[in-house]
Amino acid sequence: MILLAYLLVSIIILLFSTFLLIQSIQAYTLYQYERGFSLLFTGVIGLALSLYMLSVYARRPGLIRRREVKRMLTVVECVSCSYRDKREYIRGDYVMKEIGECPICGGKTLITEIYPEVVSRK
Amino acid sequence: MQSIQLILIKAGGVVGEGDNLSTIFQMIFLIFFLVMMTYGQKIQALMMLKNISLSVEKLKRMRDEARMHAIKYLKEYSDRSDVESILDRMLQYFWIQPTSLDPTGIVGKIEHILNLRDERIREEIMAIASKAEPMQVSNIEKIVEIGISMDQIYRVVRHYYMFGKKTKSIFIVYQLEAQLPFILQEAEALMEALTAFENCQPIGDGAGALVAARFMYGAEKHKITKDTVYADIVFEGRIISVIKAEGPGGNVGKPDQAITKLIEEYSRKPSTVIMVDAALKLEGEETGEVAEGVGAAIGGIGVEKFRIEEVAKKYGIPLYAVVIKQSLKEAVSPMNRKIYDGIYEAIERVKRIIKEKIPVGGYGILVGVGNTVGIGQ
Repeated sequence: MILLAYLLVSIIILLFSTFLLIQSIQAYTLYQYERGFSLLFTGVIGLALSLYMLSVYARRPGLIRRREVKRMLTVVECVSCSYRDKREYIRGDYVMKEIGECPICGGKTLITEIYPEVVSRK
Repeated sequence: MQSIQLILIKAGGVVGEGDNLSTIFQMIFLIFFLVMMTYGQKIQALMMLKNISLSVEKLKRMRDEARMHAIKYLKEYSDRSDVESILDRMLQYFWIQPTSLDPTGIVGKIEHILNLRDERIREEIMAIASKAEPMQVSNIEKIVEIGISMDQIYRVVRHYYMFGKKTKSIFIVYQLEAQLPFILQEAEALMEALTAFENCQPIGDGAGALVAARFMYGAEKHKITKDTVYADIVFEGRIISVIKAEGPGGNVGKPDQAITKLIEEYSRKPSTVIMVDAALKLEGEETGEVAEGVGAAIGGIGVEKFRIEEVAKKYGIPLYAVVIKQSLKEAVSPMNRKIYDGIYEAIERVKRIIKEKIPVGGYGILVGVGNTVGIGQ
């Protein structure tokens, strides 16, 4: 409730300030310099205040944030040749684990890297 | 009353006759402005307390999620029905730092208390998770420790929030709000670490351990101290004892005891000890940047560092450090691609130091420091 009231007040001040700035432009066009200046002064202060209040509101935690969707990848390399393969991580994989034979030279293959890859942001 | 009349006349004079709507708006605005000037701080404090309460709620959700993860993981390896109550008891474990009134011998006292704490947690976990293997017990330990940390973070933040609300002290509220981004970042990092330990995936802090693992690959490994292994390798005519924590469980090992044992019990005389570890980067620095220096590159409370420095000083052994830079969040999250690039760079730097500082036919020690979860040997 407090947050809602705060937001409402900030928007009202923003609207008032905009109105006053428009009024000040009109006053200047009608050569009413004193009036125009006072309206401009009040409008600028109001605008600054409303923008500050809105920035405080926006910075509060709990706003929906973009989250990254990641998937884990495992890199398998041959210790003898330059064979290198990337696949989805399987539970039980760990770095320096020997798994099977190289499909090219028949040598030992080893898990050398396990890292996350960003798939999308939502 | 007269002063108010003067203000109105002045305001009326400035805006001109007949411009009553603008005058009214301006007066409302002025009053509002004066209210904000007088009570602005209080309104700001209320806003900050509202922000803080949202963060406290978020931390509570994270604490509860960490607890549920720990319970779920424990139940996989346990037949007991009282897992939840035992875990709830463990989540509030604390340790009391020995008094520093007489600092002589304090390192030994801290070591004793910390070893006791670790043993206590391990015994409790082994009693609950009877079906778990040693590697899984290490991971469960780390998950429980994350739960303990999350619980402590939540309680401390809640304490200061309620204290600020009770006393209405703007300074307490300011300080708490200023610290909150760092606290939330740390809490989010711990939650990512939870998944890594559950799935036995390597984390950024294991960078040093992975450097050592790559050096010792193919050599015969020997257990030297608790949760610590070493292997002797030959590198370009030099003999190097490579030490790391025993993986792929979430162990940090006892590298200080391993170094001391090699030197004092096994009577080996290294010309150099090289330590590789992860280090915190400053804002603006790139993840995976490698830096070299001197000294014992090891974190923690300082007990292991003290022991390594003592033995190095006693035998006059130079200590070289190679660090792989990363943020606090990256250190406890699954190891990312940039850190792997840093590891490959660190391996080349270590090779260069070995060639420069250890003569052909000489002997040195290489220590890979860090949590070895998801990293075998």
